[in-house]
Amino acid sequence: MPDYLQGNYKVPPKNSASTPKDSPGEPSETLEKEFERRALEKLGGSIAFVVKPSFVWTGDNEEKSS
Amino acid sequence: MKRNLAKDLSKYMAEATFNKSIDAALANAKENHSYIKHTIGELGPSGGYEAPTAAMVISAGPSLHRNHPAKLLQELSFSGPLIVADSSMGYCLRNGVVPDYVVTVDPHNTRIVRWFGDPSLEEREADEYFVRQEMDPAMRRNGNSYNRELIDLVNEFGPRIKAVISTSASAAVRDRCLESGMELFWWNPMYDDYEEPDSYSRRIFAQNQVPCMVTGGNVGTSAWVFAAGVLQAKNVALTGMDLGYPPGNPLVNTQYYAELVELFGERMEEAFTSIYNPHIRETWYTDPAYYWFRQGFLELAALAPCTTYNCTEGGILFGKDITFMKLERFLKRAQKGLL
Repeated sequence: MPDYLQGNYKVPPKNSASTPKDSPGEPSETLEKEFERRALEKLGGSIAFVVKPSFVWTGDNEEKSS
Repeated sequence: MKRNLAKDLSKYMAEATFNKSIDAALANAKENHSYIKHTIGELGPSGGYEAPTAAMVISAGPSLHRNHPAKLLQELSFSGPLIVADSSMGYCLRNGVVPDYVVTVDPHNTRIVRWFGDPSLEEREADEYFVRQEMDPAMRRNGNSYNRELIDLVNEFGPRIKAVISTSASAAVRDRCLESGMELFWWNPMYDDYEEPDSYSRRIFAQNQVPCMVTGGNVGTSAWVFAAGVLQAKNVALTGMDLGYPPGNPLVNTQYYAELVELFGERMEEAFTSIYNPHIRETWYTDPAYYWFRQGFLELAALAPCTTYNCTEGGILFGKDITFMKLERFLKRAQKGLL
């Protein structure tokens, strides 16, 4: 996905001067992932969706399912 | 090998949709809580009503305005329940077709109320979303005039329409439904697998005791799920359910054009998928979200307790669990009791 997305700034490379000293791990990768996630949200549908064989759920005590 | 953007994007749609909608949906559910008097549990066989032989779902894809199904619905009267997506209600009412149910689910705080007639439209900031890709030519031509007409129509016929309203719906939609005299029957979107212990669906059900219903990711599929899963109609016909765009439709007039340009620039065309429909012998195209809706619908159709007829006469929704049929043929067979 990073191959396609066009951002408006370049994430600083690892171990560069602009990388925060107190952030362990790989902050540039985290920022990229965060950008990717927020960018892709815009393409989402109206509402979350999961496939379940019973189209309607009315709690655990409901014996009849649709 | 060159990567396929459309295929890559389709893998992200479930997560993208969840992230996009969950906060607003849950906030709306909290605000709607005190308004919940009736639920979808009171409709259909669960509410003591007989399951209909046939039901019709009207969605708002391009074929709604290309094929004009309202004309046939009036000529060949259909006795089963008519369930419409919120976005197709205006078309129906303008063309003399009053639905029995209108389904709404999208939690957007300002856009969705447009389908019900927005009393605050003239105070809102202009939304290019409707001008750019709205398939309804009446809405495109004059937004304010259309809106006023729609407010009047919804107010006139509201008392005859049951709103099948998701707890994720905005206050603006809820208030319009109430103001127009609709009776509201609430449902929770099934956000995730309720069998998981930390499920959102399980949590919201515990809070409001409102049945959770599969959504399919969009209001049109939700309407079909309602017909099949709540009303338990034995046969469900779809019209206006294209899940794509017709050949020749400019890319700029597609729902996610602005977002795709922003994200992918010159490569945005690669995000679209073309699909040949052998039933109509045309190649339509679709964007990542609608392609995902199609995949979801096909999975659901395989599980559905009803026979599904796609009478859209357009689009990309076809497969082994869907009978593609002309609307006129379906209506005549329904009239003769041949379903």
